Amino acid sequence: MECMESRIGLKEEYTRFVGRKLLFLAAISLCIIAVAGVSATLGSANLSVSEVYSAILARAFSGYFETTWFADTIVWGLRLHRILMGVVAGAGLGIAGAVMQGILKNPLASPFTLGISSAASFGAALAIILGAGFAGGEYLIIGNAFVFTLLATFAVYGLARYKGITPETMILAGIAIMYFFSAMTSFLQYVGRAEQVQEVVFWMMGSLGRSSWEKVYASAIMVLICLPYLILKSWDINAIGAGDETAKSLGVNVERIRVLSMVFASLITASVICFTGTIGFIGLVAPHMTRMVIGGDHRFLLPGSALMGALILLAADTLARTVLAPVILPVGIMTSFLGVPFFVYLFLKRRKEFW
Amino acid sequence: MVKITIQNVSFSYGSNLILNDLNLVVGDSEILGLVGPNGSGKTTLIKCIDRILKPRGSILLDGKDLTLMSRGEIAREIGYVPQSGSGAMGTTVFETILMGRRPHISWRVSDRDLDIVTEVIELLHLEDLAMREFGQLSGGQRQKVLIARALAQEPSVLLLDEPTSNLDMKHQLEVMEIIREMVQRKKISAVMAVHDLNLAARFVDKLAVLKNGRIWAAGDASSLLTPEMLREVYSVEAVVMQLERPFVIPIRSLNGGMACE
Amino acid sequence: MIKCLAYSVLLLLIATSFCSAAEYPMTITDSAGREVTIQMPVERIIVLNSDAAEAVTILGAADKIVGISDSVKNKAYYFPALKNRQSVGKWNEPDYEMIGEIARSGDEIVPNIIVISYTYPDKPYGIVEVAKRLEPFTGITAIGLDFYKPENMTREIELLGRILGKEAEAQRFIEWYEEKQADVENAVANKNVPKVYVEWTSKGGELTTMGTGSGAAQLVSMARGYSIAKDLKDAYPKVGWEWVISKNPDVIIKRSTSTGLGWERPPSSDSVNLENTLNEVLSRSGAASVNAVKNNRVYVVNWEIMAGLDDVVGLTYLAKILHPDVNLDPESVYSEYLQFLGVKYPENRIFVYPEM
Repeated sequence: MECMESRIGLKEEYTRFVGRKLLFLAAISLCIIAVAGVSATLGSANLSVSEVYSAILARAFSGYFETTWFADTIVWGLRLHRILMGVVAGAGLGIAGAVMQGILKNPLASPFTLGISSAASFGAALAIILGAGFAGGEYLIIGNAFVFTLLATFAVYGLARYKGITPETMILAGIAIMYFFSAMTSFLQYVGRAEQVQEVVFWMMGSLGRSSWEKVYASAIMVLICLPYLILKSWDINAIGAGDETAKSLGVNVERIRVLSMVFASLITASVICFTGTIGFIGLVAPHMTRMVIGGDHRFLLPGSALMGALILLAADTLARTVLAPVILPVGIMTSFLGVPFFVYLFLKRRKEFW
Repeated sequence: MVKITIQNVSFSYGSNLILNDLNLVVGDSEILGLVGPNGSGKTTLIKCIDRILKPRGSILLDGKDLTLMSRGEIAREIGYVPQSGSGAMGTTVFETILMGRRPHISWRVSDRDLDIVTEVIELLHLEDLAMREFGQLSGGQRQKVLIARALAQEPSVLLLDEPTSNLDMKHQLEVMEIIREMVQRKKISAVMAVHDLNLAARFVDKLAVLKNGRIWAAGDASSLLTPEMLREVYSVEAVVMQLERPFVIPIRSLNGGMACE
Repeated sequence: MIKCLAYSVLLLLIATSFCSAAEYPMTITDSAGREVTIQMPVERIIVLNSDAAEAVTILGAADKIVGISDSVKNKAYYFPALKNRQSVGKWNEPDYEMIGEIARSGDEIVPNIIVISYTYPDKPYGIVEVAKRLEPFTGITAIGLDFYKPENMTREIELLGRILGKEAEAQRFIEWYEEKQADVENAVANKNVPKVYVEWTSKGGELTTMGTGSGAAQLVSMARGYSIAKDLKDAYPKVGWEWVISKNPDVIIKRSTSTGLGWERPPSSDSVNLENTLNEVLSRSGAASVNAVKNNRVYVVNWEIMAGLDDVVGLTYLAKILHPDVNLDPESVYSEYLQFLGVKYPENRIFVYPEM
């Protein structure tokens, strides 16, 4: 009898524990909606809150809401796709970071650990300085950044395969690839002309200012294609966290999960940063912040990191384009300004061991 | 009844032969203790039985060759307790043990999974630790949690790699008692690498002595734990007192030690 | 198809035959080679390009400027009249929403507003990208004009004159500009040709000069100097100090900038900095063997006057530096230029150090 009671107690406690995690995910989702809602009303154009929402709703329920041409142009042509780009990019970088930290069992891993950002920068620099690349016209830089990101991923995979796919071999291979592409980029910058070099630096700083509806769709589709696999494999990523041998003994095909997760995380990263440039910090810190609050179960950590990343990037971009308006700050600066205090607060408040 | 049959099993890292043509059987509800000096191949053998490593030769589980079973199938039959396990980052004890259900669940955790986890937690008296972070536990507590995780797999075979190393005397006994009790209660077989010969003598049903990747001898403890074995396998001069069980008192190391005359 | 073609030919004919009479819609070809149609007389201008802001001011249309970028704002010494104009953000990443807000009246944009940006082909801040981002705001016309390339200067001023209906003012400035150029040309004719090294930057010991195609190289040649970087293809090629020594230039021109109009006449904190800049060049190893150093002909030049519409001022200064005995008065040329901008020539300011 007593035994039964305590069993029900434990189960209830776990159910409540899971409930708290779900509550957190719901809370962040609401925050995102709230920030997006506020963000849509902020900007240099002098539009009232009701004008903005009429413009939004008029497209959804035409006939019920009236809007003006100008409000429609500002809201749909300038603000909304930028907001959604922030959400998609933040979510993509957040989840890619959580996956990388999980499969590499390394708290300092991020979407850029395996040399991805330097490869993307090289691709962009190649397009900007030499005009050479895999696509034409305005897609030159985007195409290059994307293709080189994937090239870096496969190079890391190829190198690591020789010695077995372990976190150590992958990180070392990633470092090698990173330095290789950084050196190539530096070389291009050396031979490039001043204004070209300036453009490369501008690209590397990352910005949501280049967003458009087509880019939002492209990013979102890629992220949505890659997401189910990662979420589906959260148990396996959990098991890998307990050690490769333990994971194997629990029936996980460790090497395959690690390689495929890496490929999907890289794909997500590539399809985000080819449009935005490299936005650092979010992929590194969003998973940590989420883990501090809801723990390391990837079934919740992956969606949580995605939501957290989306929230930080969206909030940061909203501030970046309003604080010194009409001067628009690089979003990378704002993510750090906004994210670091939050991160430090959680870091100091929670004394638990996370790693 | 025979649970595990190990036939002509060899394993090498590159050109380095670690296991050399081993043959062994483990019976139902039996604890087989693997003893032998460092580097004799105990850990490797355990990993081979779980197919974490892939040896030559064949290992049969209930007469079925492991190579014909998928990783998931093996995981539903064999539970593995690593020498020193870490939990995943930021996970609670409950979640760590729940991980043992991984071979049985696709994504959703069922009520039955939670029942099994809570049952295991009660069996090992881990209720008070259930919602603590795994990383905050002491060595003995961690060992118990890792055993609990393996038990949550509902395996028919338990593999343990030196489960008592790094534990104090009380925890050594406690962990061994738990293993003994679980093997009896759940009718499972266990293969366990042990360093402490006296602990082995007290808790295992059968011993296999490994030396340089070969089985030096296998049998019951009282016939194997002799001064001759200790001299030959461990290069240790020892006295063995034959009480209710044999009791080994090491005297000094032979050849190569500091005490050369 | 043929009908369409016929129409466009007809339109083109109309456009070209009536252009002097400023008929609208007016079709022009901007400096990026884009065909742009202006619907009605331009009443409002947003300038992202600070050189263009100078041109608009010179043509007497500063009152039509309703929005400026940060780079215009930062040159308040040239544009006292634009001090309180609405900012539209950084020149290379403007706030398009703000441009739309400035342009609209109620719920429409009267198409009498243009945005002028640098051409910069293929750059995210070039005219093509700017025009694309402004597309949703029908009524705003984006025009690419540079005003820093000497070879396009006359054409661009004439074009701006047409766009703003200020043809007479454009002609007046072009005449003045060409007259000053001719003064220099006449003054330096038959002079010896000194070898000149122009130093663009020396950040971290890494030197860049100005090669063919750069505005400065053209000015040097017009001032009857021989640029030692003449054979280097890039606009800003990297060079080594040893290479400079081996070319043994007779004159070294070191580029520098300031936040105000020129520098304060010594003794001042400006001149201390200039002295340091100068000494850095003089103290480089092996400098003593270079003719320019031996003969004290190393000059720090304020680059404001070396590019843009005021480059004729720079040209005059340069001619004076290269040929000290010519009869030219750069200060009065600058003073005349500043009159176009409505700015008084400042007392106690210098543009070349050491003073000649």
